[in-house]
Amino acid sequence: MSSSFFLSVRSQVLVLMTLFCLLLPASLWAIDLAGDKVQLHGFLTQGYMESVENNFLGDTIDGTFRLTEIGLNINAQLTDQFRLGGQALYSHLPEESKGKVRADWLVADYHFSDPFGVRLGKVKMPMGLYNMERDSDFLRPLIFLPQSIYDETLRDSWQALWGGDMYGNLLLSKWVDIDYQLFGGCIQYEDDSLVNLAAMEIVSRYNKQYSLFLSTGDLNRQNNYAYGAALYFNPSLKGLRGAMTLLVLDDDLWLNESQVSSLRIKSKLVASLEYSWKKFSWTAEYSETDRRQEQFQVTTLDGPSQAWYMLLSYSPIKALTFSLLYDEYYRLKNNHHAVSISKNLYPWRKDLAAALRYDIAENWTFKAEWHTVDGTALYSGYFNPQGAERYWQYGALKLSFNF
Amino acid sequence: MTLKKRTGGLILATWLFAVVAGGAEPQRDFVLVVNAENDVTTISRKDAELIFLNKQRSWPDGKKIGVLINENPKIYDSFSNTVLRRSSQQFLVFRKQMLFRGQGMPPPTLKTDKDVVAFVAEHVGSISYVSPEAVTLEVKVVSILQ
Repeated sequence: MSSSFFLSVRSQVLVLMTLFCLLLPASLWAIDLAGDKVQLHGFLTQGYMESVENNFLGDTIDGTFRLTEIGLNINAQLTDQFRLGGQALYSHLPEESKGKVRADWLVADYHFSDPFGVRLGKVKMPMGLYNMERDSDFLRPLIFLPQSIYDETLRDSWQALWGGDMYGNLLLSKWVDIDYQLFGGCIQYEDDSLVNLAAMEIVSRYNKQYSLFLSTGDLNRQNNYAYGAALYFNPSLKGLRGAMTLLVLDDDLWLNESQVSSLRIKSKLVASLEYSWKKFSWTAEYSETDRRQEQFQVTTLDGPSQAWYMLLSYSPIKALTFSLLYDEYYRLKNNHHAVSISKNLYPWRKDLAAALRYDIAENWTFKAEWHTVDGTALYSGYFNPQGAERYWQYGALKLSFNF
Repeated sequence: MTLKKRTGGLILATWLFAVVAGGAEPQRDFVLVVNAENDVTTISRKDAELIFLNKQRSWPDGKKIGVLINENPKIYDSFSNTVLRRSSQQFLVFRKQMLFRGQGMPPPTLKTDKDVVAFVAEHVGSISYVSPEAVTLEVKVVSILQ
């Protein structure tokens, strides 16, 4: 079938869903299917993005409307302790020629007691404050979260895993309680995930460099395991919250049944702090990722990266928020300017951004932001095979509806 | 008595007063209400916070807690700021996070005190908040201890 057919079906779905959302009375936006035991909710977002000097996440220099997400979830509370739920997500992002539908999360949740519950299925993976809401634009302050920690190229892979988690809340004193989550399982890399596409580019580079004829058609990225933990601190001091998260994982890249590459994340630690006071809020996160990577039996990376950001927000009225972000990433913590094996001369990323969020109504959100970047770390080379410029910019507009 | 000792005594007395007074319930523009059959008469602010954030789901007798959000604009902000220590906007985001992360179902919401009182009166185990003047004999007021 032609691509125009898919485009037309997609457009029709978008228009129908928008009309459906607009026609619903506010009281029906959350749809109860059996009292409050079964609920249907969803969201729809459409954005536009453009970049200057370099492409970001696809062909963005000329601007693109490939920034669409549609989610639909259903939850059924079968008993006081047992819940079944799942969310289907359609996303169309700049690097994709056409959109795709996948299971965003799919859980069987048994809540034994307040300090202890278990979820099995495809569960969201906590990492920092915002990883679990990567697909729900209206839940986060920016369209593009700080890339140093929330690398957009890993978004379609590292936001959930097949396996399970244990969770609960511990009341330590009348002044503080802690939410915890321990998770483990396997990440599923889709064939067209960005990390898989980037792996094809590495193989092509080796083919060219060593006059080889390796086929990229049979590349398969496989996660052997992923596990980690998250602690969220909720003190009684109004507006303050903190978090510590840890992720460990092990990946192999197979080509025609031969292992050609491996990546072991020994630890990805993120420490987070957020404080809101009157009309201001301040968020800061710091992260180090200690990893070892081998490609064709050559160690190409061994050591920790370093990342941190600070986000300041001001809300003159409840519905309107202005934000300023400064975000830094270094590929190697101990040598900020080390040139990588792919000869990236600027292996860092320093991002200064200004953003606006306007909550038009309880269910409608509009966002706009502009980023000025120094450095080409985090796959800039992949999106710009002709060579990436050190200084570049990108911006986006996005409208979201949820019910 | 030296000035230093007098200042120290004053600070201690102020602190003791704050601790004692902290246990009493200050005047608020909302009250917590539960079903008339519920045995609970007081609740700590922290416990109330955990209940409305879906982190504490059972009453001491083991019955399931049923949270109801009252979006009456006259008391919604005040309740959210005082009990949950967050703005009503942040509370809304919290409920949506729970839903769209796959971590739970948000509690039902109503928009008027009258509807809330009727709901709590009908559902054993339920808890919500209303304006003091909206309380009827069908529901029970629960004191909040700091």
